[in-house]
Amino acid sequence: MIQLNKISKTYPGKSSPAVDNLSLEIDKGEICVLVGPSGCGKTTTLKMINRLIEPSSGKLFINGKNAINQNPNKLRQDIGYVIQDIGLFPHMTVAENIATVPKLKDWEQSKIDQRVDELLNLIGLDPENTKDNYPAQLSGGQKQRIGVARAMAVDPPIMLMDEPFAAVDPITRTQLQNEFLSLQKKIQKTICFVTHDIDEAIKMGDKIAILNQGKLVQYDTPENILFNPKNEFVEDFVGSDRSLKVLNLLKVNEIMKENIPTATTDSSAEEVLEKINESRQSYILIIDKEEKLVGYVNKERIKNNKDKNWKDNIKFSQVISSDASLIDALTRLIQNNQSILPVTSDENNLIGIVRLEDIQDRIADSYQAEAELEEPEVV
Amino acid sequence: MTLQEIIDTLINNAPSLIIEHLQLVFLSVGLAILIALPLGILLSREKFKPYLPTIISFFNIAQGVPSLAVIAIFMPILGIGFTSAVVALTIYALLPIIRNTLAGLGNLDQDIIEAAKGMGMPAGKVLLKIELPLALPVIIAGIQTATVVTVGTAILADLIGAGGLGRMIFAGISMFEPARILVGSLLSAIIAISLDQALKYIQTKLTVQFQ
Amino acid sequence: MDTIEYFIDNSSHIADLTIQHLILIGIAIILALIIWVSVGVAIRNKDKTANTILSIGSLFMSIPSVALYGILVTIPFFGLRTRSAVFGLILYSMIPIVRNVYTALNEVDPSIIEAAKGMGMSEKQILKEIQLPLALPVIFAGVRVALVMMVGIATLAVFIGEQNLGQLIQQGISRTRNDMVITGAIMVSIIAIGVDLLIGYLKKKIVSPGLLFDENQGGR
Ligand SMILES: Nc1ncnc2c1ncn2[C@@H]1O[C@H](COP(=O)(O)OP(=O)(O)O)[C@@H](O)[C@H]1O
Ligand SMILES: [Mg+2]
Repeated sequence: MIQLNKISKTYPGKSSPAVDNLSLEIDKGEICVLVGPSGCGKTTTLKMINRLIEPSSGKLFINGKNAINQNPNKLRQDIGYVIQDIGLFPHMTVAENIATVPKLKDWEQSKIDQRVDELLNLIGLDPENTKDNYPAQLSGGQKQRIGVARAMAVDPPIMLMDEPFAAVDPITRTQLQNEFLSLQKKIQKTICFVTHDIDEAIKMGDKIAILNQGKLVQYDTPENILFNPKNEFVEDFVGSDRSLKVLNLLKVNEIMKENIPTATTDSSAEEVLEKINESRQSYILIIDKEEKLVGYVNKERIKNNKDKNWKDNIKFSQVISSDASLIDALTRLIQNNQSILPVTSDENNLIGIVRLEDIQDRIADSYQAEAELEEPEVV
Repeated sequence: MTLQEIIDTLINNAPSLIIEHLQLVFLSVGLAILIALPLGILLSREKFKPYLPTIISFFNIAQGVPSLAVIAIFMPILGIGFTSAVVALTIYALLPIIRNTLAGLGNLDQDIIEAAKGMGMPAGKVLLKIELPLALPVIIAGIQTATVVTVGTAILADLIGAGGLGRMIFAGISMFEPARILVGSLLSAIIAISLDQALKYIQTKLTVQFQ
Repeated sequence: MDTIEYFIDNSSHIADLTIQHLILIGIAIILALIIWVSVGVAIRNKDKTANTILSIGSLFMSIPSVALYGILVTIPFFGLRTRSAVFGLILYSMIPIVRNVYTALNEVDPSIIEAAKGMGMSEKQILKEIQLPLALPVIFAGVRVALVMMVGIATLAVFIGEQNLGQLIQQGISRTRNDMVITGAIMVSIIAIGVDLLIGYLKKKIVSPGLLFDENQGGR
């Protein structure tokens, strides 16, 4: 889909190239993450793809066509572009911002309106409440989402994203990353994604390209980057805590326990107590008639408050979705001081649970893998 | 208008009028600085902060009153002559100096002032050693504006009998002697531009010194 | 009291002079906007040219207005009255308008321009749809300064034969008629304040609300 062929860029007045003889192929529907230390040429590489920067030498093919011969403005209209500073136009409403490229392409107003609503729904914002707002009225996370929506306005097959989530706080960032990954499942874009954060790279990338001083060092799957680093540079860049980084890669549904005991809201206190005893746990999850999660109750609480309505003892629980990463699950468990986390669907249906001990097991496993990996060096 | 006429005008009339003009300018601007600087400093203190926007917009509006009107309005009260002109010119020159003093002292990096206070400097020292030196370039820019405006307005001072280059220009206009108009106008333009450049030089010198 | 009497007795004359005054600054500001906004746009990417042009502008600014009129009337093409008056006003408005257009266009956040470019907008489209609308608040501020200044300087055009409110002041001085002087001064000040308010109103109407949140403290 995107093919860089021996691309180089030397800025005027510089002796060494910012990007040096770089060849890279990004397949359709994949997220390729460019990662590397600051100044290694990530942004330069990205901007050569939509020709905001003209390469000094080399070839660029997009969809099999030589991009260097095309009108750069036409080319850019078909490539979504999201940058760290977002660059929302402050004098335009959210709707007008999103409509920028559709207007450049002379879409009819009715089609534009429809598309704006569709995109706002897609990124989880209510069209009626947001579309007439100005950027100054939005939170950082909302701005970032609008930036993504604007880039997707004409449904371009390719998206370029330069540190799109770097400017928001860590919690919002995780949220945006997860939202974007689940969005990507639906939209299947070909994406080139720049970050300097290896954790983000591992989490977001189908493939990761590690750059150093303008050169491509390794282009591989996240697993291989973690466990088969090509050289010392990659190894150092990935860092020593590989086993924790694997948690970025693993999804909740890989270690989730299904078919867990539950009680329903219409059971009696005795029935609930019996179920808890059967399960040999100190608690039980409570669901309603539609199997939606309500919360959990502790055995002790029910025992000690027999005379009261047992439902008053139901406590709310943090939940997680099945396609979240294990690092998210671990973070949430630790933040809320819980040892289990119910896994729910988008509609809040209970699917299973993740247990802290299972995550710990996975960490232990991967420590072992890491140790084995390093063994040859020790000998 | 021949070259000879221009030269004659220059030699016969110009010197004394230039001196009168400069007297008007220096006296008025000098007085204006003496009044405006303390006033600006006073208004920039903490207790006036809530009223600052109102004070500034008052000065903005006052600046919009035309110079001719200012000169004219004092005539009924103070009569005609040099003194009356100096009073009018001084009041008109106050505005840009106060405005810039307020802006200069108001836009300082509060961290620097906090740091100075934190080191135990008394308020008066903070003002003298920190605030004023930092705001000086902006204050001088205000004096620059005031000076240029005053050179121009001083021409009008002749209308209330204060003399200066205005006398030559207005005489030229009423008798339609282009040589006089041109010489008077050029001379006042030259005075304005030289004083402007001189102050600009001082201002850049000071700015460089602090950076 | 005298002043009110004078005002009532001469209201139609005063109205005439006011209209003349407004016409003069009207013509001058329209021409000034056409010329100086174009100049500001043209020099937006040329720092050297901009510096030269702006220093020429500040030179004009430091020539006293009566002196500038004095010089202009001795040039045959301009001569007495309107041409000189209009041309002088245009020269004085150069700095506030050109400088504000130039700075405002250049101060647009580079990431906004980059986003626009990245979406495939042409240079022209970026200027028209992004840079100019974003520069409007600052341009308005410049026009406001220029206009208020014009109202005052226009009074001085009476010395080169223009008929406007400056005439009341000038004649009031030479005939020592305080009522005339005060009437003139008040009328001119009212116009200056009115013009100021008008620009403020137009700014609110024309500038995108998205850019005014800081001023209204309505944004986050
Ligand atoms: N417009 C430019 N002119 C000159 N040098 C540049 C320019 N942009 C980037 N560079 C240089 O090129 C190198 C790569 O920059 P960049 O691609 O922005 O790195 P990254 O995005 O990986 O941090 C850096 O050394 C940077 O200083
Ligand atoms: Mg970068």
